[in-house]
Amino acid sequence: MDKKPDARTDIERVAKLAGLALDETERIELEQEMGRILDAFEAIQTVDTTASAPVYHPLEQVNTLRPDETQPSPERSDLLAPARCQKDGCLFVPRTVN
Amino acid sequence: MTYETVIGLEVHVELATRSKIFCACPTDFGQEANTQCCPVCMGLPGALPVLNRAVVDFALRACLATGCRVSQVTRFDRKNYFYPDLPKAYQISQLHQPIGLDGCLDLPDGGRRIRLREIHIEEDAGKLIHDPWEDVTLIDYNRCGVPLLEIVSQPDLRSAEEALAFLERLREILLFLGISDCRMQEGSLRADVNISVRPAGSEKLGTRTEIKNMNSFKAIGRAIASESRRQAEWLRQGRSVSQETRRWDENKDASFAMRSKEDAQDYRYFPDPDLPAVVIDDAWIERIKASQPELPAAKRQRYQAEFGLGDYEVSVLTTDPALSALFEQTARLSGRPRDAAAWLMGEFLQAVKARGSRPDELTLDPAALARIIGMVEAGELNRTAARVVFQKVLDEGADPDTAADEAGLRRMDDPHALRQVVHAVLESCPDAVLDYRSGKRQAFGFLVGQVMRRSGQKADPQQVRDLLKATLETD
Repeated sequence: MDKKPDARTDIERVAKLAGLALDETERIELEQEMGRILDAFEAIQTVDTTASAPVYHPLEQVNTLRPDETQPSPERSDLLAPARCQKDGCLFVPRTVN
Repeated sequence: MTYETVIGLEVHVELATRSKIFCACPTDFGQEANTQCCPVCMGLPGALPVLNRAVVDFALRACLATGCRVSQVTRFDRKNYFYPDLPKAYQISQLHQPIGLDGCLDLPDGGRRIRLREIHIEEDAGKLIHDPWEDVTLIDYNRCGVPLLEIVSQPDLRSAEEALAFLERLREILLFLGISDCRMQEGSLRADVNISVRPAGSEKLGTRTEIKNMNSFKAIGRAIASESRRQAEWLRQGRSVSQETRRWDENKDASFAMRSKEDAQDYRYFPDPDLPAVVIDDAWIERIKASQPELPAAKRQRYQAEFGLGDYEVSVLTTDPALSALFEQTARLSGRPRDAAAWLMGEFLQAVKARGSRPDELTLDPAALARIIGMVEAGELNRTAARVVFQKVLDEGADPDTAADEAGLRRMDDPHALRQVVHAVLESCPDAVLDYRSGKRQAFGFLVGQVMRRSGQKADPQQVRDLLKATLETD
């Protein structure tokens, strides 16, 4: 597979946006994966769509709405159960501001 | 060189729906952390959002009240960013087809018309609590998924005063529409303020800075004044203003740079595949129009025309829907709108202020207030006694007639009894009598006070004055 000339820059940018720290092995691996994805998109872009109306949403269905009614929320302990870091009924993360 | 300040506001308003925007969790404020959450608002895999119809209704009300053009096909987009207050790592918002476009809002007292760029619907994020002891940030997702409107103005405001007047006007409209409680202290109304300065007379916009998440009018006013001073000073020094996001520090009365344009987020908006488009047909718009409540500007005009109230009275009575409703009911029941206005703007608002509460938090039966007004009018209660009865009605929900009778507050209407009180006061205060007769007119006020006190405040002050005068001048 041909590597895109700016693949390294792309992968670093996407990793930054995703908040991921990549080591060199991961970077190379993801760079190749991303290259394959972009190739697939390039293949799609060769399709002639001039006669097709743009599609904003895959579903034609509209107005899927619910009434403004409440239901009891699940137990907090059940909701938070999968989280490793809990304190005082809250999740916690490393300090976010100085 | 003189500089002109240019301000645009992005106002976030929490909508007063019972349930959240995309799930059935309640929206009550002040509940225990993470007790109003579910897999949808916590962004757990596989959970699907379903839009709350009332959010669209409320947004339509805001659009119609501010003259926005309603997008009859409106859609949701994902705004991607990573921060722990947003468990899905994206906020569902509207970028490409917001529900309302190109509205306006008139500043008070014949002020300028401020253009609104758009109104869009989005979801609120969770609340972060920074724990100073353990160096961690706690997360409460109760607020996550509470529906918000973001109301975005064009950069048409020119001073802190104008920005505050705009916010006051907007707040009034939202309150009277009944779509938000607009409690800034609870975060129901927050504003991001965009500020730039330019040489007076110039048409070209300067480089702007943005101060985010302001939640008090006082702070917004001070931040605008401070930031426009800072920018003008920099330009005078030949420096350039950087496009950046700034944080307002209330304690230091100054703003501080948070991030520059170079660090600006790339939100990578894209259409939300979980949410189909919302098509708003004419019938839906007409239904909302037909049930739109009377707005403050129309109320002000009507109060002047229908009740003969002055500018000041109507401006106070239309600051709050509960106060306005109380006024209208009392005015109708008593047939004395000016008295109703005076009682509510005086005794009632004093009680609201003294208790540090809002008009809707105090229970006052308009029929009881109308009865008090009627008793004063009929001469059954003097003003002082009426105030005592009012307090009993407000504090204890008492019936005005019972309260007046139990406290013996009905006016002393027996002329013989009043004459006896007057004579007793004159006998017990010979010095004041002498003073009055020797020309010291202020002694008269003292004697009136003594008679009122001895009558248990039940005498009619005018009757007391007349009787005292007649007695002093004839005896």
